Amino acid sequence: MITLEKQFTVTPEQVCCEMGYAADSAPAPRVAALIKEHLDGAQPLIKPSYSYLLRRIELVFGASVLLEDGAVFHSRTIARLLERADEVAVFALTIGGELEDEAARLAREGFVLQATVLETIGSLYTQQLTDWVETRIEDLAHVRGQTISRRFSPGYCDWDVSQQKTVFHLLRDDCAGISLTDSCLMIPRKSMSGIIGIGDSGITDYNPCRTCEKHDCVGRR
Amino acid sequence: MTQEDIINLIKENVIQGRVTQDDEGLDEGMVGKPGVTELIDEALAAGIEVKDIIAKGLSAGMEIVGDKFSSGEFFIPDMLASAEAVGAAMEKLEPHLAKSGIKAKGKILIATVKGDLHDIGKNIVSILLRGAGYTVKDLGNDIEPQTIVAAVREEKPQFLGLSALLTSTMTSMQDTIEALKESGLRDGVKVIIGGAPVSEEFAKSIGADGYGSDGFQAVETVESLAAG
Repeated sequence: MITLEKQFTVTPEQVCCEMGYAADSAPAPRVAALIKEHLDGAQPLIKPSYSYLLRRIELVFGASVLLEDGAVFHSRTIARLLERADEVAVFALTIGGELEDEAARLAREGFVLQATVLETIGSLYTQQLTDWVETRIEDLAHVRGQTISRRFSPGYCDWDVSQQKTVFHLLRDDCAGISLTDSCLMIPRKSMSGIIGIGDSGITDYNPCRTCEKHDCVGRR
Repeated sequence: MTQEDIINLIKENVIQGRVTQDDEGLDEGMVGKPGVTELIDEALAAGIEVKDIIAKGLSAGMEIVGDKFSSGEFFIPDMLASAEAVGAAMEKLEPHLAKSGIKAKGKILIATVKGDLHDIGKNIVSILLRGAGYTVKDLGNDIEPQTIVAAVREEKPQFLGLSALLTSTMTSMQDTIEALKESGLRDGVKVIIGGAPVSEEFAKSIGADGYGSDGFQAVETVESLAAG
């Protein structure tokens, strides 16, 4: 597990956008003041850490991907994503549990708006950390003259969330301090896990969203 | 100020989402002017009946907020600020409700179902229901069907709200309804479900009584079930 000292930056505009404001709609002064207050207060609560490892892909057949140490991903989408990849980067990351604990405390005390603002800020930090880790993996691929696929997480498309167990099994004792519940949700909640394929240029092309009819999917890319 | 002025100010400050005089509002320059909690004190001192404070001030304000939210003029944070203002006002009015012969509209238990840890949506619905005059008991998240059954047995609520964010956990809603049936409690409580993956069709398919696509629709569904 690598604990990051790096500070990420979330802006009030990003928070507003995430909370549903249209680009041309400014939040009310009260909401704007709260966003600023919580952006300032959130920074010390963010404790980013991450972990990733690379595994060689042995075989892709049907809706299954067999990795070098016997782990198998079961998903037609993941099989298609990785069919031209040589390796897969398996990652887990988190901003830690302090921010969500503070949000839960605020919600318990009836400050639901404040809790929601803080949760939103936490989600944005998690997204930024995920992008940052993806860039690290991409840099690694570029050094080898390769590139990366889109990233995917258990629960996306037809990849069952129960395959979190496979992802965490692969990471073994280095899961960035994240644990899984019986229903395969991560604790802390502000965490992300998943895979990224590494291979030659053709692997960047596949995007299952292009042919998916679930147009209201929040993960649509 | 007349009694009508005070009530109108309460309504206006609910719309502005201002709990106290220290809060900003929707408009600039509101800091220092009385917010909902100070206005409630003023209303009680002026002898305004509690039922009028609630109906003509708080509920009337929330109704306008609901309309503005539905039309896209208000966003989720605006709606939450208003709901918080109503929640704070109801807390202040609590000791006066019994004396005024006002009862809560009904009792609601609410929970995020087993396996799911997401609670923002549940918290939003809770605060809106409180603002609408219901007594809400929040059981928390990742709640086992049997824990919910035990709470229904003990609290005897008129309504049970179940929330889930994931397709993998929404099935726990059905498990909970089945557990209520097995315990013989199902007929005594109306079950309303909500959350990103659920729909009206899903609600019907698992035998729920109602569905809310957002916080305000959840309140509307409860109101409509309460009216019979």
